[in-house]
Amino acid sequence: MAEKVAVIGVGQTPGKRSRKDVSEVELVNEAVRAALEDAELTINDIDVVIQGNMEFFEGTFYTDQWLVEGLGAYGKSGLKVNAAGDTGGTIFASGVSHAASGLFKTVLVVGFEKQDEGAYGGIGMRSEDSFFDIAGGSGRAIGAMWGTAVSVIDRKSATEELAAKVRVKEAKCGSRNPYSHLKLQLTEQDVLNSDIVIWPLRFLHICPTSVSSCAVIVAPEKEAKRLCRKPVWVKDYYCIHSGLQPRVGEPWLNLGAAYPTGPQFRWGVEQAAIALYKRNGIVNPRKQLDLIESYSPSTWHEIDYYEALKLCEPGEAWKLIEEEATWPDGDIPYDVSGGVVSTNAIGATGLHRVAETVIQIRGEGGERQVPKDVNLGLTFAQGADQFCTAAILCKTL
Amino acid sequence: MNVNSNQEDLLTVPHRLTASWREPAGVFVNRMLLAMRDKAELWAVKCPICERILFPPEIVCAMCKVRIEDKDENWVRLGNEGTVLKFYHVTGSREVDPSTGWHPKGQTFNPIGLIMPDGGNKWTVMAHVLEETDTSKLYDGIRVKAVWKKREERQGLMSDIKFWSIVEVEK
Repeated sequence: MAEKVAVIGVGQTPGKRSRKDVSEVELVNEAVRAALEDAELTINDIDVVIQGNMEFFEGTFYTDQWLVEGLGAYGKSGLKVNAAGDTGGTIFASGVSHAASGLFKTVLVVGFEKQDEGAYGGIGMRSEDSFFDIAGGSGRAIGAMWGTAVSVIDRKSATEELAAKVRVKEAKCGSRNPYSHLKLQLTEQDVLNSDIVIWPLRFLHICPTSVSSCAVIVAPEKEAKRLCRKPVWVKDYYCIHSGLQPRVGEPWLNLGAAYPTGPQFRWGVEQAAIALYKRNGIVNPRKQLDLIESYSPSTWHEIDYYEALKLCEPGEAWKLIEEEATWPDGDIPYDVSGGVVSTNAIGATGLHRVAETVIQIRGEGGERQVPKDVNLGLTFAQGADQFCTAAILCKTL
Repeated sequence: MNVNSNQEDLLTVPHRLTASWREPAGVFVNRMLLAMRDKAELWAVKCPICERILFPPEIVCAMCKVRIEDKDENWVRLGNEGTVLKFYHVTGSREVDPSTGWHPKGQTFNPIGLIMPDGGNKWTVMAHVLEETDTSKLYDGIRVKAVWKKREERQGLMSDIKFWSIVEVEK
């Protein structure tokens, strides 16, 4: 990067199933104000505003236009970015790029989703494909989750019982995070008894549909040092486009279960991690990274990604689970925020990963703070198999 | 004059979107769909570099980034039978679709097979409906056959194949 960049402020709204008390403008404004307060800045100090969400999930185009008051974007430079589930990651990458360009001093990045408003299910989850029209009642996300789940079982990477153990860990983490939508008290038996959606994918393995907003402020080195007492540095990021799956209508997302590149999402996550590891001298990620905040939209994804991120050998995710290595007090804590299965306000989700990693690096996680010094954290988002944005954040340059 | 300050009474403003689209199939897929409609045949293209056989046909190989020319030698006729590599069956869902009020629970869906048609290679996978709803009779690797709709019912859509039925193997 031409300029070194730091995160100098983060703001999140608590995840909820519904926020009928606020409009979209008011929701994003909560996150913007929280981030400004965290950075001890005012909106007048912001040069650029970048916004993203799953366009159309709220039934509106031009969300940047409708939200301009809440974002504080009027008259400022900026972009709107839409990259499906990776939106939060992509807007962060856009913000970092702006700050790294040396053209701007402060960049505010805002993601949100207000999934209590409309027909997200019809649009995003179960829309019949216009071209091939053979969805068969699956949905994009659900079918894709099945592809990951069944591949984990096929590879003998984990059993249903071990997946239940991971789900209980995720629930415990979520219950410690004040911004988590779900705060479930689960037992492994609860998970194993949960309704089957498509075997082995069960209802409790799947992320909720949440309402939340997240805002992050980034700045180039000179400004970050001037403005912020606790900057968290962006060591590197990588934004990959995959989307190799053949176009065969809606179930194309599911083809990963039979396709040579493997389950949907995985390829992009793996390739982004490989690129980042290579550029940053990470040869043993389990040892060198202190923490991972991931976009794992189901429990099975978390397990799949242990291997995609090279935390263990292929087919050996079960070892990490048995050792509880990815638990908050393990050697490679994974999603101590509770992860996406605890909160999924899609356009904000990737940015929540960044915010939670920043909080952990600062040591401000309260009840969810991991019991060790966090110097290096990996965060990533992914969406619809087309995009994965991964970033490494660090305490010191 | 005071504005009404009852914050317990939360209002929402409804709006409804209805929309329909017509997507041109494009040169290659148009040809493929015409063959389905008029001849009940499946056609794919082969990348001249990596030899991946792509269904539906794509004008560019994503991996090699080369244009696949519209030449006879690049078109591959796929068989009317194939092998189910994996299949899935949606048996439960909890949420009502807010746009339609449709609740998946209680409906019996056909399983979806991830099928490699004969004449394809490992990159040739299509998702389509399986006839058999009793999944205990299905297994990875099972052979299936395309059951086409009658000519007058075929419209140049993937649903011109009614479903794929199990090919009985003689023991």
